[in-house]
Amino acid sequence: MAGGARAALALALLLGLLRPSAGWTDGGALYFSRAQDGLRVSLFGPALPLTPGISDLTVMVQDARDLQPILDARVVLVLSEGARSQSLRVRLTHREAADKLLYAGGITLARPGRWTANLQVAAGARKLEGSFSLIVVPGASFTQVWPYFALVVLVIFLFGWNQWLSHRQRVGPSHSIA
Amino acid sequence: MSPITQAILTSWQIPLPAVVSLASLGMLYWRGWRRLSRQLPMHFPPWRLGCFMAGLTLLLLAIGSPLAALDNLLLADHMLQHLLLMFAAPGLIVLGAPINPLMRGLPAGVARDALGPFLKSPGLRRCGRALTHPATCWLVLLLVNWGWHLPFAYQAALRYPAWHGVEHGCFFAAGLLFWWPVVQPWPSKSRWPRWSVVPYLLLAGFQNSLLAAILTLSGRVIYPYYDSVPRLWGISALSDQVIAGAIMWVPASLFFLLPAVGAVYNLLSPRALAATHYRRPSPMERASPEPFDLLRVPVLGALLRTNYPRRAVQGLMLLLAVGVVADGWWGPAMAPMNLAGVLPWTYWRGLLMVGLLVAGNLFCFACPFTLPRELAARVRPRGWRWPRRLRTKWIALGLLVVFFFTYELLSLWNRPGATAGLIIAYFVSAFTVDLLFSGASFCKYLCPIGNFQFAQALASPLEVRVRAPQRCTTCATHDCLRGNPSHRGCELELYLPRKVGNLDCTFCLDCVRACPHDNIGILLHPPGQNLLNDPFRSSLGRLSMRPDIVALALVVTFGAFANAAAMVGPINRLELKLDRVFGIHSLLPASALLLALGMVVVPTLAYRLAGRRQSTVQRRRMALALIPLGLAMWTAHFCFHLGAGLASGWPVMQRVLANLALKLGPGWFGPPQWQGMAPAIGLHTLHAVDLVLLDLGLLTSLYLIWRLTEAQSAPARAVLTRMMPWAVLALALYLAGTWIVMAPMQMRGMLMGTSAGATLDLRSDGGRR
Repeated sequence: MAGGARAALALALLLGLLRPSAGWTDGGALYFSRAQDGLRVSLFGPALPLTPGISDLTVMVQDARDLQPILDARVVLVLSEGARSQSLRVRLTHREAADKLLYAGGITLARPGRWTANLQVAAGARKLEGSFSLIVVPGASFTQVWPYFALVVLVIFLFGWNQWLSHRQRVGPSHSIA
Repeated sequence: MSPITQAILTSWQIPLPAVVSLASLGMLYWRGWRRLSRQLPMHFPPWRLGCFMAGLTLLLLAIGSPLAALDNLLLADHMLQHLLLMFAAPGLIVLGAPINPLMRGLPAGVARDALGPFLKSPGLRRCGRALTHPATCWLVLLLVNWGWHLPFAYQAALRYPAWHGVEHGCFFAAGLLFWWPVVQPWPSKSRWPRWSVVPYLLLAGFQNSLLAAILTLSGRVIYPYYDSVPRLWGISALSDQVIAGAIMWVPASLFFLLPAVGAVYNLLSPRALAATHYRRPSPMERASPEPFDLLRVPVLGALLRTNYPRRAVQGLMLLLAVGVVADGWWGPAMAPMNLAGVLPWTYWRGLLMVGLLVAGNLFCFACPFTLPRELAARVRPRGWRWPRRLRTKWIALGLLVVFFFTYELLSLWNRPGATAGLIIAYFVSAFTVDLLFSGASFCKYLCPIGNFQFAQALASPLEVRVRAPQRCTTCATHDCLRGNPSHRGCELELYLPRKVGNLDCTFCLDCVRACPHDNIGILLHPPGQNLLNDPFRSSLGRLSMRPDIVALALVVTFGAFANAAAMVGPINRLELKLDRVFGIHSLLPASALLLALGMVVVPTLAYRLAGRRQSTVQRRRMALALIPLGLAMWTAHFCFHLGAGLASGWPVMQRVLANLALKLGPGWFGPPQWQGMAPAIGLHTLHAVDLVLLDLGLLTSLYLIWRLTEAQSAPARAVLTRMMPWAVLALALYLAGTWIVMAPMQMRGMLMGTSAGATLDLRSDGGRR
C-alpha cells in the first residue's frame, strides 16, 4: 500500500472514531440542590437538553454549615424511565470526575423520555435523599443538519455555474456554437 | 390580562437566520438606495425606501410574531399570516423597486464577478422575461393559492414544519411575481398595455373571493387537522374556518380593489414627465467607491486615532486580570463560581473570536500584557536586539502547543488557581523579555495567544494598511516604521507600504498616529484575500518561504477541531478506555496521545498527503487556505460556550462585589442567584449559528483553494483534479466540525442553572437564597 493511501486510511480511521454520540459532561447546569441533615448536595448535568447515550452527571457534597466539600461520602443515583419497573443504579465517584471535588459517573440514558432520578448521599451518620426528573430529548440527526449541507452544495453549484458562464462569455458565442 | 393572552402576546419566536438575512437585505438596499437616490431622485424617492423596509418588517412579523406561533391552532390566524406573506409584504417590497438598489448595494466586485455572468446569460434572461410576464405571474398566483389550499397540501404543511416553510416560501414568491406587473418597478418595461392591470387585479380578486366563499360557505371542516388540536376561546373548528374565509373574502379583496382604483386614477391622470429626468453621475460618483475605513467613521475614527481608547481598554483588562488573579487564588475552588473560571474561559475567548471574525486582532489591541512592556521600556536604558536565529515563529508555536496541552491536561478551565498562575506567568514573562530585548520581541516571537490571533487574523475583514500606496513613494522619513519625536513607529517592525495582511499586526495603531500624511487606515477587504497572492511582506518575507508560519497555521487550524473534539462523549470515552489500557489511573497519557494525534500527527499526515504532487511553495500556500475553516471552528466552539453561558458571569460578579463590600445598599446587587439561569441562547439557535459559521469557513477555504489552484495550473481542466486533495481535506474537517457541534459539548467550568431537561428541587436551599 502506498504511503499516501496509508495516511488516508489513518485519517479515515481517526475520523471514524469521531462518530456521533451523546455528550459526557462535567459541571454544567444545576439540576438539583438541597440542604438536609447538615449536608448540602448539588447535582450538575449538561446545560442543554439531555439526549440518549452517555450523560455525565456530577455531584458536589458539602458541609451545610461552612460549605467545605466532603470527599468521603457515598453517592448513589438511581434512575428509572417512565413507567418501567427496571431501574439503573450508579455509584458516583471522584475517579470519574475531571474535577476531583465532584462525584461523577458515566450514566447511560438509553431512550428519550422522562426519567426519574433518586439521589442518595451518605456521609458518616448524615444522610440526604432527593428525587427529581430528567427529560431526555431525541438526539440530533441528519434531518436537523441537511439544510446546512444543502447550503454548501447550492453555493458550490452556483459558483460552478458562474465559472462556466464566465468562461463561455470570455470565449465568445462563436466558440460555443462550434 | 389573562395568562393565556399574556402567553400569546409573549409568543415571539425570532428566527435568527431569518433576522440576519432580512437585516442584511435591508442594509444592502439602504446602501444602494442612498447612491441611486442621488443620481435618480425621481425614481428612488424616500417612500420607496420606506416601502421596502416596511415589507421586510411585515415579513418578519409573519414568520416571527405570535401570528406564527398560533398558526397551527387557529385557521383565522393562519389566514392573516398568509395575507401578510402573499400580498402585504411582497407588494411593499416590489414597490421599493428592489433590483437596482440591491445590485448597487453590493460591492462592485461581487456584483460584477458573482452576478454579472448570470445577468448576462441569454438563457437566464429569457427565463427572467418569461417568469415576469403578466400571464405567468397571474397563473402562478392562481396555482399557488388554490394548490396550497387543497386539504392534503394544507394539512401536510400543518403537520411537517419543512412543508410549512415551503408553503410560506411559495406564497411569498408568488406574491412577488404577482405584484411585479402591477407595480412594474423601474427600469423594467410593461409587457402589456397599462390598462390591462385593472382586469389583471380584478380577475385575481375574483379567484380569491371564490376560494374564500368555499371556505366560508362549505358548512363542514375542510381541514380536519384543526379539529384535532386544542381549541382556543371556545371557537369551534368550523367557526374558525368561517372567520378565516371572511378574512380572505373581505380584507383580502382590498389588496386587489385598491390597487385597481389606483391604476385607473393613474391612467386618467397626465403622466409626470419629470419622473424620467436623469442626472448624469459626477466623475466622483462614477469612480469605484473607496473601501470602508474604520478610521473615517465619525467620532469612532477620531477616538481611535488617539491612544486613549486603547489605554482605557487595556486598563480595564488589567483591572479584570487583577480581579481574576485575586479571585483565582483566594476565591472559591468551584470554577463556575470564580472569576478565573468564568471571565477567561467563557467570555474572553468567545469575544475574541467574534472580534476576529467581524474586525481583526482585537486581543492584541486590548492586551494588558503589553503594559509591562511600556514599563520595561522606561526602566531599561537600551535593550538587546532579539537574536537573529530566533526571529521565527517556532518558539511561539511550541509554546502554543504546550498551552493547548496544559489546558487539557491541567483542566485549566476548572482550576481558578492555575488560571491565576498562568496570568501571573504571562505578565512576568512579558516584562522580563521586554526588559531584556528591544521592540515587541515577546509579542512577535514568543506570545502563544498573540500568534494564535496573528495566524487567524489573516482571514479577518479589517486590516491596517496604507490608503494610497503612491503617496508613500515620496515619503522619505518612514515614520510608520521608525517613529518620530511625537509618536513611536511600529514596534513589530512592519513597514506599512509593504505590509500585507494582519500577520504580526497588533492593531496598536502607532503607525496611524506616526504617519505625517494621514495615509493609514483600517480598511475593509474580503476575508482571506491577502492569501491569494504571495508578495514580499514587511518583516516576514514571502509566507510560502516560511515553514514556521505554515506550521503555525496548520496547528491553529487542526487544533480548533482537536480542542473541540476533546469535549465530546466518544473522545472522553476513548480517553477512559486508553486510561484503562495504560493502567496508571490517570487521564494524562491518553489525553496527551489524542492531542498529539489531533494537533501534530494528523496535520502533518494530511499536509503531506494533500500536497504530495505539489511543490513545497504550492503546498504551503494551500495549507494557509485552510485558515478560514479553522477560524470558523474556533468561533463556533467558543461562541457556543459564550452563547450558552452568557448569563453565568452575573452571579459571580454579585459574589465578588458582595465580598468586596461594594454594595451600595441592600438590594442593589442582591445575593448571587446560582440557579435559574437557562442558557441565554437556545440550543437550536446555537447549532444554527455554528453550522452556518462552518459553512462559511468551508466555502471560503474552498474558494481560496480554487483560486490558488487556478493560478498554479495552466489548463482549466486540471484545476479540479489538482484542487481535489485539498478540497477533500477541507470537506473532511468540515464534516468533523459538523459532528462535533452537533454532539452535546461539555460546558466546562460553567454553572448556568436550570437546564431545559431538568426540574429543580429547591425545597430547602440552605443560606444561598
